[in-house]
Amino acid sequence: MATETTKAETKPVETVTVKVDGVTVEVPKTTPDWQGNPVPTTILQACKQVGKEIPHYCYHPKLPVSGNCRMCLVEIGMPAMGRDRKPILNEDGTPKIQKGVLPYDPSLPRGAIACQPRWRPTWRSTRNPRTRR
Amino acid sequence: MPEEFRLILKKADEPGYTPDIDCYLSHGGYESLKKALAIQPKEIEDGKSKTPQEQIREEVMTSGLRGRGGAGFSCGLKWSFVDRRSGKPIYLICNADESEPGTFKDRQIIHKDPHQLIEGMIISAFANDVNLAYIYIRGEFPEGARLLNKALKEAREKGFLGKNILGSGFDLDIHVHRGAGAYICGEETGLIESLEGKRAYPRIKPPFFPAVLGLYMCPTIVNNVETLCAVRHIVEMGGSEYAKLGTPRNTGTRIVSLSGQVKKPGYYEIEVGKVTLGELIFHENFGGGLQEGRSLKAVIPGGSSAKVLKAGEKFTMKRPNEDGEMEPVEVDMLDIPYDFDSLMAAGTMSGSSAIIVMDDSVDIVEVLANVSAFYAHESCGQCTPCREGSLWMSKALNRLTSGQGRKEDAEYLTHIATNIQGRTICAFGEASAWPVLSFVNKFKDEFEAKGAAVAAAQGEPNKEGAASAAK
Repeated sequence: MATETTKAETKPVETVTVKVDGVTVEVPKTTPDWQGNPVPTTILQACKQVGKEIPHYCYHPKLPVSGNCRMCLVEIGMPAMGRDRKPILNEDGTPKIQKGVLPYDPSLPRGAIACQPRWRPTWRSTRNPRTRR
Repeated sequence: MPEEFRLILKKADEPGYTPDIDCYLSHGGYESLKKALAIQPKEIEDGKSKTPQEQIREEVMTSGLRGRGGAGFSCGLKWSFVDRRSGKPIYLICNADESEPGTFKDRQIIHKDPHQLIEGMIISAFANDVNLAYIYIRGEFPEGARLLNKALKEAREKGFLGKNILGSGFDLDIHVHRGAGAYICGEETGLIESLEGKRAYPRIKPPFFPAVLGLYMCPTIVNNVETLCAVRHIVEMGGSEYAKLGTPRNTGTRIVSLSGQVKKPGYYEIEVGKVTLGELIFHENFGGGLQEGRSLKAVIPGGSSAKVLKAGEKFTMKRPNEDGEMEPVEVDMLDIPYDFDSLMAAGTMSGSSAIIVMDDSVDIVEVLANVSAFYAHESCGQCTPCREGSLWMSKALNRLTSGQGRKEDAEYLTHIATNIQGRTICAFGEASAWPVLSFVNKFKDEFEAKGAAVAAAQGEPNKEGAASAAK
């Protein structure tokens, strides 16, 4: 998911040329928020405007940017390249970053807790680690 | 012969030295402040002139002073980023939230010589046109806060603080703010949030760089205690004179907190880069070596969040040869000079200059479990990878140490740690992931042995049971 800011153009509506997944598009520099005031466009909004939906939890158009769920992480610039000069992908062909954010990794507890084969918390693992010593 | 070089703590350990202002004044205290306030505007070409403030900032820049808090960022550069044209007030915050495990250097300064810190703060505030400064001291230092408040009161009475300091027309007040003992409050923006009275959630950078949008959305400078004390000495000695201490690019002195299994743990002030890691541990002027009959196993060179160094590790570093050209040389881990750049080249960091030495009596898995439990407890809970991941790592290590580990736990830990680093809002993610990554990578056999031993122990009763069932 390569997103690149290249140059900013001037009036009437200021636009920015960005490259999303290799496709060059122009998006306005500011986007009206829910009250109609122009606020700077985020990468997430820019991608949405060009039809690329970035998965997200904590983003909401009527709320300020919180950015703490980290689900919407994207790679900016060059993606990580392998030896064959091609982007390193997950086994199912999705970009590496898409499954890199821990809590959304189904191989880990709470990522998809129901899918865990026989994951049972032991009495020790559920205790507060600080109380141990 | 490696020796201590005392600059900041030069007088603090003299017999009869007390933390009150009379003692400080009789030892040449507040002379640097008088010198700084007496600087006249300097004429440069084109009829322009340099204000005293600019001159002090330039001195700090030429001194090459790097932040002593952890990241080692140039102090002069940090000051140059401050947005001075916004018309908003500029704030100075002294970060006395010394919460990195293993570090106890700022505590020495605050307890033994609080006026030195205050003088450094007044000069730094003067250099940056700051009229209100804060000292954010951690909650575990009630005595330090008491001493600082007393020192501030004394300084106010003598006219070093308040309105029109020493007749220069410069106003400054300093307040002490006591934290409540959270590790994350040592993070620049977390500290600012905490000072504003909110929960210490670090801010997203960009856009909230403290130099532009810091405390109360005004430009803010956050500096470590030791850095601010060094500013006092830079003004006293002059920037170029200070730069002669230490090595180029790693100038000045640092207070090293040496702890762990050495004969003489404690704090030692050294010229940066003039003493190697091995000398700090084994030389009689410093740590004095390990206990009898013990051998070195690992060293954490910069506080618990730095990557660990295994005894006997070799690194290739660029060193100037006889002709002055840079040449790659193989360096043993004990021969690394203790400075910012060399340790960075070795893949770790000098951090807050806290060396933790471990001999062969320690169980590395227990060490990591302890470190990891600390980070799991101290994660602020704002962003998901760190909040969840630090706890998972701690749980996995807990089951390894409590005899319930699994064979694949080493891999599991690496997987979690790689997915935390670089994906969090603040540097806490790296701080919790780096020790896990380095410990597991460098002592993989021990982690695997723990997991395998457990599997074998679990396997035995089953085998016996199967055997008895067959009978």
